[in-house]
Amino acid sequence: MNGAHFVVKTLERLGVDTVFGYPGGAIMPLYDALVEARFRHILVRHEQGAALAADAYARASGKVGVCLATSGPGATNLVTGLANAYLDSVPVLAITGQVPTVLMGTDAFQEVDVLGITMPIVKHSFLPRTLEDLAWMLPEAYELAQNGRPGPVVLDLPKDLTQAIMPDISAGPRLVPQPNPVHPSSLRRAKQLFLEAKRPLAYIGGGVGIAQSETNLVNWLEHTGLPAVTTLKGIGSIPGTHPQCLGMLGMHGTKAANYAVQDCDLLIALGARFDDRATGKLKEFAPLAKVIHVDLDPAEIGKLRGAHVAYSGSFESFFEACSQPPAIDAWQKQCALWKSSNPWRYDAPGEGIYAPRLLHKLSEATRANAIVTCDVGQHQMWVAQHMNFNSPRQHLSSSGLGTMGYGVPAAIGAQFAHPDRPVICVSGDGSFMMNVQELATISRYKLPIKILLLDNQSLGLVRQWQELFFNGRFSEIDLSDNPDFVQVAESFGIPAMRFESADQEDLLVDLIRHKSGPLLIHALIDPKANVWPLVPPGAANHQMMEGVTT
Amino acid sequence: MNALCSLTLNNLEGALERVLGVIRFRGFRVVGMHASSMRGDSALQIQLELAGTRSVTHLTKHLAKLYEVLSVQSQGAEQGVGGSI
Ligand SMILES: Cc1ncc(C[n+]2csc(CCOP(=O)(O)OP(=O)(O)O)c2C)c(N)n1
Repeated sequence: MNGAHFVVKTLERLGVDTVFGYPGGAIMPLYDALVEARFRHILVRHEQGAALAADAYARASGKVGVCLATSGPGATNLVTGLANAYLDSVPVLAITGQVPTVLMGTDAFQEVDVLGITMPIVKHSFLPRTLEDLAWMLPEAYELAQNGRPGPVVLDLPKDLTQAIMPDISAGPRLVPQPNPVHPSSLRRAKQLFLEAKRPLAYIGGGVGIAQSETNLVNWLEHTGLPAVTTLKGIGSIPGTHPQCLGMLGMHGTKAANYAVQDCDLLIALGARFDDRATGKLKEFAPLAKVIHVDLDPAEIGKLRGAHVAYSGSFESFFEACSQPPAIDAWQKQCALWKSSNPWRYDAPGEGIYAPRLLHKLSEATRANAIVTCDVGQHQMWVAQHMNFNSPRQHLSSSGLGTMGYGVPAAIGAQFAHPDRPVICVSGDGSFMMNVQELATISRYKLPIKILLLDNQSLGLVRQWQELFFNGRFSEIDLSDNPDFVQVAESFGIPAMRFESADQEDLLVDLIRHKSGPLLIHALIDPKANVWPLVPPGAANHQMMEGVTT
Repeated sequence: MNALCSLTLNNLEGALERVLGVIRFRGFRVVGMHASSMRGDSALQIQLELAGTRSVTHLTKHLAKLYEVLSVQSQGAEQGVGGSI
């Protein structure tokens, strides 16, 4: 057995069933060993696609996503995907080929310092110099990716190690996950604040889904009656249709969510990190509230907003400590009133497709059962606002990094994680072009992914900001010379259709639901449509702008 | 505002570089440094004097998360945006 076979065998032993990658010189011995692997390798068409597909596979499945690339340009092409996984705390193991150890540090062909380049965007990186190193580093890298707060881990693998005969080395002890510490004194203080509060609010971030605590969260919310708001990554941790869910807070959040945050007297941050898109002007965020901050990662606590009670234990131990329902009838009524008096409006005038209405119809029709991946821009915000999700593993959105080009490879990763579930990618005409080559992957593996391409012939979100905050001086946002997307899809062997009028919206939803195999729907939408409401940069969350829907 | 930071590292490849990267990214400059090997050369003990206006507590928590860091202690005035109340 050589080092490459050892890698394959170890991945098999760890339970890996799918890896995404792209071969090249320095990783050829590993690709040779893959021929006999018991897991499948998915050949993407760009390494960024591999990293993003692995990221989405991990988000959708709850397992570690694995991607492979060769040295030099293969590894540098992974960088955006690794940063994406890092900022959204997604467990990804990236194995990169490296030039042989004797050539390392000589500027050899396709040699770059992968360890150095990726250092700030990974949880950790390993560079085995010997087979003994490889024996313990590979399983350690895999465990580390999913242990504690998850994140991407790189294993930079010199070619000669993969070719050398592997002596019989025991893999060494596996990383033992540390149980979450319980701090009784923090819990006592949390309980006290909880019982004193008149207007408590749960602020749910991505951490709840990562910890797979969403069922316990909903039980706790229902038991205590607390209203809840979510971040972009928290969407789905409480079903969007749940009466206690006020929706997403922040820049493009709902009015109900933002009003509740501004008025609450106790903010319970659960796996949330006070991101600037969520808080708006930090000094005026939840100005009346005491804060209980529950997060597995102590480094998140007090980073931006001080906490009256900080707790790094499990969500479950917190729920247990604060399980006595507080007397908050008036507050519950107020929140319900904010919600009922600010419903989304779908009665847009005009004859064109209205993206929010279309997405809402799609969500209703799929009964929030589909996995939806997004790209980045206005369409991403419309998905967050107008589609409902029952689980955070159904809404795959590049939240921390905001990576245009995420949607299509993410749909591929999600479909491999859940071959039997409907997967829909909602994209924009700008983002779609960033990883358009992955249509070939959809086609090759006959993935029944439905792509809904909302085409406003511009970089819509940038155009919106230029309109509102740069006096309407439009700079480099015009995409009216887009290719014919129907022809593009068809050239990859993917059926495609174009739609442009409101009365086709139902038909289009039907096609997405019932057509078998892959499909691209090219939906032309109003180039001037904006995302509302909007908290302008530097403003507090209750100072939302509301525009006219044309 | 200067802070003192004392770390013990598992001296794996890139360990010091990683520590210095976190210090830079989290808003500090190294103005003094003393390092010595421990346990043969498998561990490294470092005392750092840091200049910066951000939260030392926040920096310390991030250093503590590094895979190679065995222990970290810091002292210095707290200037950060957040902090526990
Ligand atoms: C890789 C990358 N480059 C640039 C940006 C900045 N950016 C954010 S949204 C956006 C426009 C997106 O346009 P499109 O995909 O057409 O979506 P729309 O906003 O029109 O719905 C841009 C350029 C980004 N987020 N990611």
